[in-house]
Amino acid sequence: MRVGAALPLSFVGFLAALNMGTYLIRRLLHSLLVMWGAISFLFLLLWIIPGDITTQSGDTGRAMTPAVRRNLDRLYGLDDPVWIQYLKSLRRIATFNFGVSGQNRQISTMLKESFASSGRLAFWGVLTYSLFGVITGVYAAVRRNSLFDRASGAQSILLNAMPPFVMGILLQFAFGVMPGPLRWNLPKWAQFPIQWDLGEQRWLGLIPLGSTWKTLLLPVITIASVEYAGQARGARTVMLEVLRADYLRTARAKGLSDRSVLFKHGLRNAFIPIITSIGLAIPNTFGYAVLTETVWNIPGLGGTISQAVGQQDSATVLAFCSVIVLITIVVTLLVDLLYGFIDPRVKVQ
Amino acid sequence: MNAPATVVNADRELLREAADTFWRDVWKRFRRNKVAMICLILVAAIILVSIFAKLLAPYGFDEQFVGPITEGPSKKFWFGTDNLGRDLFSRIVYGAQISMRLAVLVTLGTLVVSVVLGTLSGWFGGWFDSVLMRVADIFIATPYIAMALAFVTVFGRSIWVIAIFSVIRQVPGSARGQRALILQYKNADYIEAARAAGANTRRILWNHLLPNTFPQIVAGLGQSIGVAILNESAYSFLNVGFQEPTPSWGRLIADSRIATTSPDLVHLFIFPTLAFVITITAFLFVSEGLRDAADPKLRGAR
Repeated sequence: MRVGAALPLSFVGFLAALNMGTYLIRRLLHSLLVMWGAISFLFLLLWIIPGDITTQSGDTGRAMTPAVRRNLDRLYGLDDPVWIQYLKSLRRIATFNFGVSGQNRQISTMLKESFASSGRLAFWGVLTYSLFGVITGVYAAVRRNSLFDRASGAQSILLNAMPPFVMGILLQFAFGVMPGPLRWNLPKWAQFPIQWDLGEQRWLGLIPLGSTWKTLLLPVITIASVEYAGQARGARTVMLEVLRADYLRTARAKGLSDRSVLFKHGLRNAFIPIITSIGLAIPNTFGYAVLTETVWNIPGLGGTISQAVGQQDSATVLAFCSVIVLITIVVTLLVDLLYGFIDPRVKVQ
Repeated sequence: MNAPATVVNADRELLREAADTFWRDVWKRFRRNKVAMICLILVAAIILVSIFAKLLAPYGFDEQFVGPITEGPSKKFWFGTDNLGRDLFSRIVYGAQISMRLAVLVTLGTLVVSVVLGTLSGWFGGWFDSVLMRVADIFIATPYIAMALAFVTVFGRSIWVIAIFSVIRQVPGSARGQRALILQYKNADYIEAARAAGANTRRILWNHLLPNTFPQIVAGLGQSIGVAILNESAYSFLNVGFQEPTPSWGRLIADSRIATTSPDLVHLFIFPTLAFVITITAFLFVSEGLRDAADPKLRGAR
């Protein structure tokens, strides 16, 4: 990619901006503040819910003797005053020492397991919608008012009206294995499993090996479809603006070829806002992930969170949510920094 | 005192005329957009259906065993029946009512709160702005599934609770949009002129700044309604929305997941989904048509 050529220059400019350090510190403080706010807000909500983790722990029929009650309270730290509980939760999150869930499992293990599914889904989802969204949007802008442009516009709105659960069920109908006369006579390669089974892969192995790609494909389409529509629209708007710009007219006037005008001057300038919008969309992906995971029965972050809220297992809820918030913050920060690297004009504020 | 008053009156007259022609212009451009017009008719039809649901639906939404259990469409039951022998058509019609009622509540709530907060935040800036924006960040960062679950567990699943929760979820985004608009217009020449003419803050905001953000606000309304219906269906799907037997569309679609196990149940999925997708598509197209028609950048083009 030609962006590489612009890197050293912008890097110098970047370092030259002496307030870079203060900027970074301010951004980090801001992120910490947001994270603290989100965690506190969730703690408050969980605290307001009547009952606690012990009321949900299964044997509700049995009367609890005071001794059992005391033990449970001690186990979950409920014998402390609320503000101590709150501070302890904060400490657990700050030290990444999440402790034990209501199901008596290490929360860090649970996180790893859920992340194996959710992370892979989100990773491929983001990749899919970024790539195809940008291609569609840019092509639609270049061929403005063509049939392709109009079709992709209508398609965007239609996809926007199809949340992941509709898309998921639809895909299950179309390509999933269906019993009875309604089953399509699809060739074997076009039939996909409805079960989520990634087999014995290591959790960091993002690349689907063997037949796992078949398991991954439909859920990834499900999670990517809405954002794909958004990115396509966004990229189109950006590209239209770039195509109208003076420097592009200059480039054309210089007699550059269409290709060079488009790729060297057009795309490179469109790249900056496009990256920003992709970065902004990534947190949304986790929102859609909950729906996608539900419709495809994927044991992921969202499912675990909703289960844990149901059990009033605040340690698990806070741990999982803080990880999601952390990812959001890191991604936003990275996009911001990337923005500075790509665009030398960006003045660090 | 007399002369300035007449000037102001004449001024107001002129402004009103300008506003009139603006909306007439918008309507003229909007009418040329065939897709948007068709969708506007659809939207009108959906609103009518939701208002007159009681007259249109042959059965009640929770009337059980009015027909056979899970039967496909027939003459008597246009969209078939569900697993409790309830008429699916009636349920979808009542679902329209519920969706629209919620969407209107949410949209109005979001509109008022976000216009007020966004405008004040953009206009005054300073610590007020920073605090509001940080709070917005926090709400955006908090995973909504946890928030929604906690909300409905504490406050129940009435339409008001779901509406308030939806408003909380939609406000940060749209307040930011409003703030951005205000920041964009804040330093415009006409604001400077108004201030030079001695207008106070309230007058500038009310008579000069807000009317200029109005086209974007109106265009955003249709989208907001679509988003509200989408969000509600997502909550219902995740079981944090309306409860049985309330026939919200999201609930109907969520329940139709059993349809993937048997081809006899396909109607349970097809009809609610069609109603849902068509409604949202219609609102989004109308909203986009309005935006195109009202966008000052495109004015005079073509």
